[in-house]
Amino acid sequence: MKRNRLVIFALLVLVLTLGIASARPAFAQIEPFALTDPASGARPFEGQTLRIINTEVVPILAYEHEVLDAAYVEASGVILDYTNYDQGALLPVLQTMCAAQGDDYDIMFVEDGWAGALEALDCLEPLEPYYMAAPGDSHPEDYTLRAFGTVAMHNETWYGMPTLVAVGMFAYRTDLFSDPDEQAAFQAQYGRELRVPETWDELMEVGQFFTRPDQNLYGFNYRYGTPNNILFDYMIHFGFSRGVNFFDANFTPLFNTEAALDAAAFFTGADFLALQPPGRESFQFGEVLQNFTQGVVAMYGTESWAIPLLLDPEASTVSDVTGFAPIPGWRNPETGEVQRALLSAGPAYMVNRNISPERKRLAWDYLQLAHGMQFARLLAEQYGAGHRISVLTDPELVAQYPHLTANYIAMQVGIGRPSTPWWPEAENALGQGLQAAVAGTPVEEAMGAAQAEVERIVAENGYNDGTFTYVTVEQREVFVCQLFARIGVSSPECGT
Amino acid sequence: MSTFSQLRFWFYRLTQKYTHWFFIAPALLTLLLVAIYPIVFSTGLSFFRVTFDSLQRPFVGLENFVYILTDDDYLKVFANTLLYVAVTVTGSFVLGFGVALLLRQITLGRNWLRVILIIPMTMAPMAVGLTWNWMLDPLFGLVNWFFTTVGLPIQTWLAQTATARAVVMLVDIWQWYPLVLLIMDAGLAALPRAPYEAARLEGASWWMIFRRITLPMLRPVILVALLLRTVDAFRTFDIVRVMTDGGPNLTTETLSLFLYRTAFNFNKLSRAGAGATIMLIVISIISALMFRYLYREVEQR
Repeated sequence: MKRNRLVIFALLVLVLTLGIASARPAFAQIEPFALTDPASGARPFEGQTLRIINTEVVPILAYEHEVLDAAYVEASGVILDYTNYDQGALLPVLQTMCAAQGDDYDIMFVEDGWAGALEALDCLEPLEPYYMAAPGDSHPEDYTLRAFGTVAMHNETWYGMPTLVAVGMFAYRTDLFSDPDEQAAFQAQYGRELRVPETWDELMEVGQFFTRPDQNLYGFNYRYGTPNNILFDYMIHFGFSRGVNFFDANFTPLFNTEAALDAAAFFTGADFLALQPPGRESFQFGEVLQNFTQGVVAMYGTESWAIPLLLDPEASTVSDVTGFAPIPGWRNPETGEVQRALLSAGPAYMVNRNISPERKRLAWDYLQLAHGMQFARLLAEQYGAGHRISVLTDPELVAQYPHLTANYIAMQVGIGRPSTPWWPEAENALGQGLQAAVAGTPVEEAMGAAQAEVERIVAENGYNDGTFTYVTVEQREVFVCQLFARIGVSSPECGT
Repeated sequence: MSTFSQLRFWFYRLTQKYTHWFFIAPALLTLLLVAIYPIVFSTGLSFFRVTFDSLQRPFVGLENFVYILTDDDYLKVFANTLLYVAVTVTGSFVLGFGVALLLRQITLGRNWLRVILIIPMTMAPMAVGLTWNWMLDPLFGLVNWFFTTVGLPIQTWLAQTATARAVVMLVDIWQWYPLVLLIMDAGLAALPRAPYEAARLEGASWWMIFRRITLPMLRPVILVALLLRTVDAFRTFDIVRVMTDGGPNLTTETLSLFLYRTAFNFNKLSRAGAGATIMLIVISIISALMFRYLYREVEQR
């Protein structure tokens, strides 16, 4: 009798468990709620304070806060309380808060490489249920798959609204390229028309042509000064387009492959360095920008975050003669096509999972509107910058800011960097390898040492035993399309 | 004796016996809180595996020390730092002492000159680094403008592994020689006149007076100046961070910068703790030797 009761009880528990498990949605559902709406004048969160932990690492973010925050505050009546940290110090602060399950901040500035570390601390609130409850003006389908997959998501989960999608852009001096004398001289010297380079070979030729130290003019410049700067410029401009990737599916680093060595030899070679201004070995963020804004270089491989600054007459002496093009690529000898692929990176604002449900709704209200579709247009109109498809393809805006087209091309070919917790250390090791090559160490030796060091870091963190799989850019795209299907939005890139 | 009187007597005895503790207690407590506790905490971290993203702190014994002592980068940076300390301490001492000696020879406007000379020391290291960076900029800097004006080629000292280290060291010496100058100037001013007058009457040369009288009498002051500069040079961070960020190719990276990166950029707090503990041991040994020498000198007097 007793035994029968136990069996019946066990069966009951089993049935209940299976029932609950099968009925449970992927995320806890949220009841629909009202959002701020400038059209109707609804201000459901008026008077509340939203706490944002932030960094203003690149100029575009300052421009963005100037425009978007002001518009949001006016529309919502919400008070925005920012705490700004130096970018280098921000991640430890977030990690400490998250490890302690702190609720000090509602919204966090999260670089694409940091999401994995914060997700592991159960600190990121998935945004899918909020979209389902109140989509507002968020429009996730208004981003390219690569941009959204890199910046807003971690693997299969949507965590953030991008505040910036940084992709490689190629700035150049339009006055030099359109000068009839320069065109004639180039034609005479190289037997072809002077135009903005599309391939590395063309970049070398045009660079040689414009390198005139006696006129204080050089071909181009790149960042070699710090390990992460040099790594990004190498990958953005040369590595990816040559077919280099960070890891294979098993997290084996790929920095001593033939393609990687070829790209590294080109990027750190004496011929290439000679076309850049003196002091190039230590150029960082500021120096390369200054060289271009002061008219010292004819071309500048930069990123989309720099666009408003380069077009600002108060910041650049050549703002009125600055044009933008896609980053040059590598011509595939078999197909003859120019292969372009570049780094896509950037921060998103993500919601702290440890705050109250009321505060989460407030946080979503800010994200959907301040970083939504209609406000994105405000930023583009004022500064010619944007990362949403609706902005980058708008005929009126494109007519006013032709570079938006190049920016859109870059958004479509951007590859994200890894977001594993140990990535900053690996990034440093790889950058050190490239710096050693610039300092004269043979490329094979320098990159071999970097490869060995990254292999050690991967092993130390237990990522080499098959437990983890490196998420490729193609897989990220699949994850984004799966998300779009779940939330019922269509995207031409997904074929829906 | 009433209880009240007994209490008063007890309180009187107590205050008489321990008054000095009341006075030094605030300073002692502050020192314990802001200096001793972090050192003990950091050393403690070295024996555990601690990261920002975990509340778990497993004990790992000497694992972090073994790792850091076999890390090529750490050893390279340690050697960099030792060289940095040796050169900058020597350089700032020689320059500071030399200027202090020259200053004693000047009578007119000495105070004004002293004020002008100590200006570099009063500037924030970050500002010093940024200023020198701009001065040495290959394209927009004052130094290279001068070079090109007189027909010399542009110099890129901060970008070359062969010269970057020397330039950063020179800037450090430029900023900190006034500290030595101030200490030595005060020491020279406090020296008794009698031995000098006697030596001059005996016909001693300037060099003999310097070697036989000035140097021996200044030895405790010299040791204090060297000690302060050594400890300061060991923990150099700001100037290097601003001027080169440790580059090119790690040639100017100092221990402080390396440990900062290890802890805050790479999330390896315990490893940084182990590196800092080793650095602390080295600084302590050097300081202890210098203190020992200093007190032996004082006692001998």
